[in-house]
Amino acid sequence: MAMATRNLYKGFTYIELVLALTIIACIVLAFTHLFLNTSISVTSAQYETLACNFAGDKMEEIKNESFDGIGSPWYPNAWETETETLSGKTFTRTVTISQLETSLKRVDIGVTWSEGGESKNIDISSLIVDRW
Amino acid sequence: MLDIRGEKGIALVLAVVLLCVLSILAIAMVFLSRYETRFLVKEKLSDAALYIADGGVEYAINELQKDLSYRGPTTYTVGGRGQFIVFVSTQGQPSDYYVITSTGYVPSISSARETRTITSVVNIIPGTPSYAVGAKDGITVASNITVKGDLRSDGQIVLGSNVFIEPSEPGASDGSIYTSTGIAKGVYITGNLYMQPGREIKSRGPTNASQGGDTPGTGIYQESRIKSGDPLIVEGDTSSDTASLGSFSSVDLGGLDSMDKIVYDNYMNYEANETFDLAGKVHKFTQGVRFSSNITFVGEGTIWVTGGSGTYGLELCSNVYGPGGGYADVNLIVSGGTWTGADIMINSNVKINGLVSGKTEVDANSNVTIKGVIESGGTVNVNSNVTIEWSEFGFEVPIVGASPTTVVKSWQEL
Repeated sequence: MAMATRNLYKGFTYIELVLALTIIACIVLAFTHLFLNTSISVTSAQYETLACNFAGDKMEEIKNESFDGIGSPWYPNAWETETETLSGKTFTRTVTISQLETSLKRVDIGVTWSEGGESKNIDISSLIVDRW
Repeated sequence: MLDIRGEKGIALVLAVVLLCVLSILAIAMVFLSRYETRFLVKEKLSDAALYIADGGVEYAINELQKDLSYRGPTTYTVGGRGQFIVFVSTQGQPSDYYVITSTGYVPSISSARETRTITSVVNIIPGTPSYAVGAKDGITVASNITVKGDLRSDGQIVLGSNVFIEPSEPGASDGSIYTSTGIAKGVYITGNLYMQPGREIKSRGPTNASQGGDTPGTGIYQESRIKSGDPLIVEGDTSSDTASLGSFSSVDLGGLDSMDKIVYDNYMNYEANETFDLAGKVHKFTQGVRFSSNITFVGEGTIWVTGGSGTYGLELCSNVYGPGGGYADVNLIVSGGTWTGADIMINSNVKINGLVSGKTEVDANSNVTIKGVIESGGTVNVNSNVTIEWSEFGFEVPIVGASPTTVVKSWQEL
């Protein structure tokens, strides 16, 4: 009676174990792929957020400058390129100032970075007036 | 036997159920992160649209600073990254206030993936000279005159009887008298003068010390006739307060000529009981103009005389008002011509909200009220019962050397 019970335990345990492992392996494999993709997406989104903030910070900084100072040689980094490493990623920011009229300038800010061997970028633009 | 089998089956079922639950959680996590990713992409576009919309507000301010009648709507492409539509409204706003509404579209209006709308209230105050009465060669005021603001001249200032010099508004620091002339009696007080405490009278003429007191040889004469305010008396002043007025007039004539205008090439005489529609324009008279009595100015605008000859370049006879007997929102400017009387003659019973600016002589006779500025490249002569109150003009005039102001009162997203 005790032998038979042991045999029964062993038989079901192995089958169950194999089945469970197989199911788990399939699911883990499937979800590993999903998690990897998701992780890449989340990281990418994080970089985009950092890039947006990097560009937005510059736009706000320029908007707080005096009109004459925007794009003038003594304004730091105007129409120049600068790089910064954020969360281990290197971002390159380019600021371009265009004088549209005597009292109106356009500011274009682009931020580029590479991700998985691919170059990515975001751009923002605005106008700034010489207020009386 | 059956009980044992049953127990093992439950374990398997439990494992499967647990896996299912975990799977659902994992799927939920995946969808959540993907949704978040899409949200971030949308936010990126939204930020770009906001900056485009803000550019629209800046664009409208620029247009308003060039021409206060600008209302839009204007569609504009900003560097190929987006477009905005902007328009301006003044409905329900006080004078000089403008409501700018701008919507930014990314990447374009026709295929917008994101839009943001901003509304901003902006206060744009055109430039106004700092004085209420200014004249290059001299100012003469007769009796019962009230000036709310500064009097300023490069020549002699003669004050008659019962002259009240007050601040332009409660709390304002103006209400003083300045002359840059170095002659004796640069400020000649012939009758009772009433001023407010803390004000000053400054002249570059000879001082009391060198002339031994308040004598005809001093820069400010008959100080004893000052009845109130106890102003600071400074003779021999060298400060910027008594700096020369420089070139006259204050009006940027080139800027004035570039405004929306109607040109009249003959001498014009508007008969009595007429209504003149200013229509928000500059009315340029190349040979002079006369407005007879009982004239009503409607709307707002500028009367500008550039040439001609005769007695007066611009004459307002009597009973000249705005609608309902109120102030006429009109600027009176004479920049040329040869006139035996005065460039501008304002006779009696006149109410004006604006700039009165003549080339050589401006006369205001009796019962005249001017809210704005009266100035002359020569002299200003004010007779009796005249009130001049410094104020911003009812209609824009481009001014040389005066600082206009733009203030953003509010900025919010709709």
